[in-house]
Amino acid sequence: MVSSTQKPDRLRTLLETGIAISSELSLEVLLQRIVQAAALLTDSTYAALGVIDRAGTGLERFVTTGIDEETRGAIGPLPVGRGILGVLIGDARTLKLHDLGTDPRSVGFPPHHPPMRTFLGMPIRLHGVAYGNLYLTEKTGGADFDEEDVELVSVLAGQAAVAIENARLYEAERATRSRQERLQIVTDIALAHPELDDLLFALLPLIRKLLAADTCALFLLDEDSQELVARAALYPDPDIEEKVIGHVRYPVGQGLVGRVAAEGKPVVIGDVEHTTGIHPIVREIGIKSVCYVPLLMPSKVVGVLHVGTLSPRTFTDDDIELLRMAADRAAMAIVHARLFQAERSTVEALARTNDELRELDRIKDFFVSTVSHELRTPLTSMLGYLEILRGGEVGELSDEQQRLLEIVDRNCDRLHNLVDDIVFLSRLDGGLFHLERAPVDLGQLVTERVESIQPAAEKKGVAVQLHIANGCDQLWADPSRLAQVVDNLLSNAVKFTPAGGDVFITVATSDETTHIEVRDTGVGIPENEVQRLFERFFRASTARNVQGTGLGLSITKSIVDAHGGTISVQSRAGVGSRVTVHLPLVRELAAVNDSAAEVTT
Amino acid sequence: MDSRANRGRRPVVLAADDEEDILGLIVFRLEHSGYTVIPARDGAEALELARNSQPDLAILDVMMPKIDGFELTRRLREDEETSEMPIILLTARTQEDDVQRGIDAGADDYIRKPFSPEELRSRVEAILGRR
Repeated sequence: MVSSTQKPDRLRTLLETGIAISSELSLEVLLQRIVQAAALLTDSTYAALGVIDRAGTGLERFVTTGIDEETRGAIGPLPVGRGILGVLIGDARTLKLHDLGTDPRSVGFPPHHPPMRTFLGMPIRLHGVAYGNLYLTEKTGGADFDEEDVELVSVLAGQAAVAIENARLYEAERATRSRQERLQIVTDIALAHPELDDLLFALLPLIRKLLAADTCALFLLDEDSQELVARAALYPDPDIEEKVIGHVRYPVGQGLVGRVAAEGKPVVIGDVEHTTGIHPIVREIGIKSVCYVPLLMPSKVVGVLHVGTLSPRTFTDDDIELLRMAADRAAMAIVHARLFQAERSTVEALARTNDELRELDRIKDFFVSTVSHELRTPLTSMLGYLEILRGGEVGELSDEQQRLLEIVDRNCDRLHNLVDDIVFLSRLDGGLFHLERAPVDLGQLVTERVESIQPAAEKKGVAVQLHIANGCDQLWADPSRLAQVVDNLLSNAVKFTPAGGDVFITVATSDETTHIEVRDTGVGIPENEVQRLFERFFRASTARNVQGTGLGLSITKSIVDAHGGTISVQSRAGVGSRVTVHLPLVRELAAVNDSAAEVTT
Repeated sequence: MDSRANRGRRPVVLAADDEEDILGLIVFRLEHSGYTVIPARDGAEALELARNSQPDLAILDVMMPKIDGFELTRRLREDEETSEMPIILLTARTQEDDVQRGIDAGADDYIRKPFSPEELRSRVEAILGRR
């Protein structure tokens, strides 16, 4: 089959094989070339190369030449530890035989192997590691293999060793890389699914695939009950998944799942049938081998993850390590998802509270609006008919009748003012209060307000004195609100000043501001209460015998604030009070449009 | 103009409010001040009376059944017969924007409740006097 070969041809073949080996070919093709080269170089009829598996118990590859497929198939598995191959692999020796058939060491060869006489066997080794063997039989012409053949074959064996080692390193690297890539996917999935259920749904198939397992299940620790509850599962039968998820639970320390959680260490079960502490459902599913790992965060166990196989499997240290790495990432993702959920439920709770408060606020606004409307309507009738009655149009009234109706009138006014104040504050709180600015002659405005309060002041025996130092004739402000401020300050001053006392109101304008000062010789306010004067419904201890709601100064301050001004009170109990309002001089419309002080909330 | 002349020198005022007591107050004040008042108790009645009676002025409550004061003002303004009729709106509502709404609808004046009957009379007089 193989013709005799000249030496230059042999060298060329050897060289070509070397080039082929160093180029990137698959191991199978390389080994095939080596075998062919060996047969060619030694004029052999038959050549074979066996690669032993890593465990050293069998051949993972067996490459031949000079033999047809059928014959080769009939050879069957080759013994590694005995006979000729045992010598080659175990003893690491080259073996040269004249007649294999008669050699006692051929006993291990399979009976269907084609008959062989001359034989040259060579171990494939590198750095003391046995990779396999290369052997040749039936040198053409019946000659024995010579030393030159041994030399050539040893070179080829060396090349084969390098090729096999390279291939293994490459495969190992590829496996590592693929594992890294898949672990990275676990991490990516973890980051992409902040929802716990979504996360587990995406994570489990990935972990199952990573470990080339058939089932995968995840238990999470319930902190309250200290139980591990099945949270997600991938089984061949979805009905069983349903039976397991949320139902199967182990107290920490009990059952295999509980034990893994308690000890924080992986557990591998090669044979489920003969192990206790496993849920009967696992056997029902048909799981034969299981690998459990804890889901660990630095300081605590958050759950247990396990993968199973439907056929018996020995989970290697490598498998456990891989599952642990996946579990670490899953644990991190689960904690992340829980934090996310907790944060979101807090946000949702806040949003709900906010909605409820908003609704309450809306109801309050509606209530205030409705009530004020409902109060204003009867007030209109009461005040209106009182006016007609007191005007004497329907008959002259006696002094006593007039006096009594005046009391009714005054109290209707109080009610009216209260309704107005409540409506004002409600609008203020609702952000609905806007100033309607217009040019205001402050001197004139204050003069009118003083005139308006004069009758009441005179009646009480309080003298109101107005002093306009230098008036501001073009203040850009809301005239009716400003009038409300002055009315409030004046009526307070008159109200809290006993008969015979004085109220002084001064208006003065400088380049920057204008100020209104109202001073009285009234009851005053204790020093420690001054700070609280602008609070709603606050009433000074010295105001107990005087009617009022405690809303006036609060409203006054809101109006002053809206104008961008300030209000301050100086007071001494028993001596009197001085309220000073400073308003910035806004003279031009453009300046107002830029002003943010238009609306107060 | 002829129908108005037929009534003699007393100007006619249409007053619409669903609150009987307030309507009575307006009627009393104006009747005692030299006006003839036609009372209406809802927007639809007021619209009909405004068209049929051609009053010199209308006082309309904003919150009325059937047709509210704003809508009624708009309809009166659209109708050629009543488009020139002076209108005073009355409101107890708290929304100050209502003033603007009333003016936009075409009202001549706007009075907030509670109002003094004397103030109402002077506003009516101001409008009818300046015509």
